Amino acid sequence: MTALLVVIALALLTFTAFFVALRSRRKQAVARGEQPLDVPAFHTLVDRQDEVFLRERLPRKELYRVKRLRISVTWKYVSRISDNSAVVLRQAGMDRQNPDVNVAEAASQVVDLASQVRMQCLVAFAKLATEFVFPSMELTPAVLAPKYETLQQNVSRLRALHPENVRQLVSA
Amino acid sequence: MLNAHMFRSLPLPWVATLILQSALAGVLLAKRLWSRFPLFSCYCLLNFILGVALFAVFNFGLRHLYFQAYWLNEGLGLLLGFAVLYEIFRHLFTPYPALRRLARQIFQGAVALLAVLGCIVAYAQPWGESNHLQASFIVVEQATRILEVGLLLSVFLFASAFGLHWRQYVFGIALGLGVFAAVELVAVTMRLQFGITANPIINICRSVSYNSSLLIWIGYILAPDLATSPAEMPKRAQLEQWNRAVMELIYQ
Repeated sequence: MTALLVVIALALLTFTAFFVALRSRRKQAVARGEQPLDVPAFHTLVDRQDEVFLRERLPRKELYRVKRLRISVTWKYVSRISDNSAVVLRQAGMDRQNPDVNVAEAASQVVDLASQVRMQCLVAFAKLATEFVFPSMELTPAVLAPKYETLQQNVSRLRALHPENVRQLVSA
Repeated sequence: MLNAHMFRSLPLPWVATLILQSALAGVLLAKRLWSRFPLFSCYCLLNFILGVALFAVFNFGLRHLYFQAYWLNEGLGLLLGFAVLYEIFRHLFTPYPALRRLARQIFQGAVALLAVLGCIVAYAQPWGESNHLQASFIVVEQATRILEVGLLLSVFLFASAFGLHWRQYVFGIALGLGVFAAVELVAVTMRLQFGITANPIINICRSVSYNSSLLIWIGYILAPDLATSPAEMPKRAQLEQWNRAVMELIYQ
């Protein structure tokens, strides 16, 4: 019976993935492109000095409540960056097949950078989710950096395969 | 793919499958898709030819030959299913060279994990099937289907994590193959679990799922592509600004 349950779980998961992909394809078709993002506000939001200040002044319960609130807002910002980089990835991905060599080359570089941003967003989501569940934690680079560095190494290795990426990007 | 028991209980779905397979073959030829999707075209055409051959063998009453032809058909179908998966992978990642190598590494890991899972499930499986030769074939099919479904799931999860754009034909091919492979996996597992007694229900499910996949393939090939809205591409400086912002969050 265990085998049957494992198989049914796998099949259900697969159908859920199909449904999500169908929905996101329809969303992509009506999407209006990139959404605006207030980067200075994002920097303020993720400033650890603010957290230190709050930690000194607020009782633990209240601090955790505020921290979770900040994390939910930060999550929305990261989501927007992630969505925007996906939009860029899609559009630049299509432009890579452009017959104009300059456009294709520029698109290739943008795809590379957008993939990097998207990967960093995944790491950021993991960090935010962990801190939301355990608000007492402060995930430092010591915890996340190795993973992130591996990702960066992957990207660097991939870049090395495309020497044309070193050249300056012409505005698309 | 269909078998003799299904024909005995459900002749109409088998005939419907052959009609749909011929329609799909016609659509593939009319749209000249063999040059863009040679493996998928080969998979569909071979399934159609073998389907007709099986139908003929069964109607001539050559039971022994039918058993061999049926398992040859299943084996070829499974192998070509993997070839189609590779074609999906190639088409999906062609515009994203920066992701291709990472995706390849992830899928190599997924293959290893799924192979282990397939072996565990096959080992833990009680055999409700009295014919041991047939049961062995079904166990191998089950393990292979686990690999196929798992890999398709990984492709969908990876594409979703990176927000990759699925082109119309590639998405249709992946969806049709996924629906068929997932239902086949549940069907072979139920067959092993409950033996021949579960056959009538299993055959209806397999027939409906395979015919649905054929309809999905035909539909996605014939339907016009969902056009994405044109949007202005952000400048490199903007991308780098986002990059720095997220890196700051990670490193703080």
